[in-house]
Amino acid sequence: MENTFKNDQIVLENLPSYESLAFEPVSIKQRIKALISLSISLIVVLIGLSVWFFYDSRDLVLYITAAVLLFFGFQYFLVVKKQMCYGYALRERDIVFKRGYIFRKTTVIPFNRIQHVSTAQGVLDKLFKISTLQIFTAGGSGSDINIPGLEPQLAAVIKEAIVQKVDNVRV
Amino acid sequence: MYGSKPFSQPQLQSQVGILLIFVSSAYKSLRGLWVLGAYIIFGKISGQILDFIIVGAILLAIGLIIFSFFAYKRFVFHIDYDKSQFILKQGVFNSSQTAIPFNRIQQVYLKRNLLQRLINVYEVVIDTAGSKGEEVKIKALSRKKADQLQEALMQEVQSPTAEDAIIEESENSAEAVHKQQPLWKYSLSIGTLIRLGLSTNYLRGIWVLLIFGGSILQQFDMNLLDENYNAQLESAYDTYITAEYTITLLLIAVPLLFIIGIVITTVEIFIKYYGLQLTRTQNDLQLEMGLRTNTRVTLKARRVQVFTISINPVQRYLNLFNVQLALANSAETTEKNKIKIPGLPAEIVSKVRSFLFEVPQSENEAVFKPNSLLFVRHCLLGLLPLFLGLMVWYVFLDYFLWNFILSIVLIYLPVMLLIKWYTYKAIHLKFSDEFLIKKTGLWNKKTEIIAIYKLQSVTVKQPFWYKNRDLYNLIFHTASGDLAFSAVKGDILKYINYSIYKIETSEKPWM
Repeated sequence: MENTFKNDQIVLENLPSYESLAFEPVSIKQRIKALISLSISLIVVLIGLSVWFFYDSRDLVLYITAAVLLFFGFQYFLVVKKQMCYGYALRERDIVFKRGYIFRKTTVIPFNRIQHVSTAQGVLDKLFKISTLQIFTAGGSGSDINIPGLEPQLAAVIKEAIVQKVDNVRV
Repeated sequence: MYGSKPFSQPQLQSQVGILLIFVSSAYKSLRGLWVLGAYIIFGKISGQILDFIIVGAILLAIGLIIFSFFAYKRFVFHIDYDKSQFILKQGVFNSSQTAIPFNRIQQVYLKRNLLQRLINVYEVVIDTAGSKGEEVKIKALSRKKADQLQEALMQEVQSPTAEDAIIEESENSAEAVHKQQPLWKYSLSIGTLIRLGLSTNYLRGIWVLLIFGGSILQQFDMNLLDENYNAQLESAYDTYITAEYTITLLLIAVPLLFIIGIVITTVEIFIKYYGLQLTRTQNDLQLEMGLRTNTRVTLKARRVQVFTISINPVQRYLNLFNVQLALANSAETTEKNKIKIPGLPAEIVSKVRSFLFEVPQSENEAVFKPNSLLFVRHCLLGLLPLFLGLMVWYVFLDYFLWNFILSIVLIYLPVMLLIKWYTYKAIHLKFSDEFLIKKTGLWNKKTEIIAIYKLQSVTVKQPFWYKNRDLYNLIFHTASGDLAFSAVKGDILKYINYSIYKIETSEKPWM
């Protein structure tokens, strides 16, 4: 029994590093979905503006429209960039999730701190047959992660895998 | 056999509880009607309307008495030892049943407010760790019953898993006698309490005063000022309010405000922490304090997630440290789950610390400081009030007094820069083998300590303009709020990996 005891020195440089992981991208459908939902809001805003212009045809409305178009142009750029930044990686003992284009964020959640895992599907998600994997910890909303744009089967597989890992850790 | 266990049978509160329910529901319904009360007192009311109001009040009182009786009768609780749950049934119109599994109970503590003190009952509060953050309050129990209930529940909570139970048992058999005997005890004397009040930040007191005064003025504005009065006031302004008058008023008002601020702060501290007593027993730390509401909390070391020590130079001179223990709470962080214990001498602080963290402070330490970019950011934020002030001046006043503005800017800028510089210099983050320690604060120095294995997860952020500079913002998530650290060099990332390694290899329960 004594010879199983190990107490190696911990060398910081040798610890597995979360940055150098090969991150899995999310489905391309997520990008299309984000573009479509942005387009829907653009259409709604444009309809509103044209109604306004119909009743009150001042130059001001045109300037506002130009500003709105500029804003949405920037949003399109951001949405595409943002969807490309999503990435997740499963390790033996934790899950790493990165997202964000302007503010790049990476969250690492060890399996032994996960409270529960679930999958969710919005209306557009159902249309595109993708779903979101939600992982909750006791660390409040800032510490929970939602991985969007996963194929439903894949999401279910990852969920099962995590649940199993979490249970293994608990036992 | 269960009959012998305490609280296994459904029970009611103490009978005086009816009175408590009556008073609190009367208070609740009157609070909504206080405008009416003010109207009766200040306004002119004819006899007939007054009659109606009196009849209404009597009917309301009778209704409330009946309600209180039923609310009392239907408030039934017991401990279900079979299912390891605490069960509470309540509700007059809609009845509800709450079942709290033992493993979700965080804390059980006793409390009493003025009324509860008068009728000699205790309130037992059962705090839970649910995502809904629900808690149970049993408002009226005799001291004996309250103690019994607390003890019965805490005993069950102490042994949530089989492994724990074994440890607990061996401890119990060996030290059953010593268990309740305090290892050490600290009481805050009245003299210390007053010194503590005088050395605490008065700004809060002044602030409270201003808010209070503001809301009173607002009430007066709504009720009393009619146009006539306004006209009078304006003419009064014209005649009496000269520059001299304003300056004299300021000379009197500012020190007065300051003194009142000190008094309010001291009184507040006195009421809040009167009779503070900290007792360390074998398994836990017991805290009792408060004049108006006497709170008694039993703290378990492992429930504490973040340990904060804060002190200002005056308090350091007086040797009065402030300590805050943040408990696990899966709902969003509330102040309620942060237990503040002020006025502890250094030696007691280190005793509390060794109660919380059995591991001693290690020698191995890596210290990180934020990049000077953070200082620049703080300075830019510090310029904001100046710009806003100038803008307000420009918009609302016609003339620009250049000399005056220049002198204000010349005073403001160096003071602001100095404060920001030393505040920036005070920030640092330390990684030791077992702990994460963040220090901040120029005047009020704050040290936050987290045992690394208690972290829930870690987030690393990088805005794109940090990329070339190799800087990162870090957020350490705990079960009682986040600890953030901004603009730090990339070599900290290996300590992030170390933290994750510590969490993942830890077998200790984090709560």
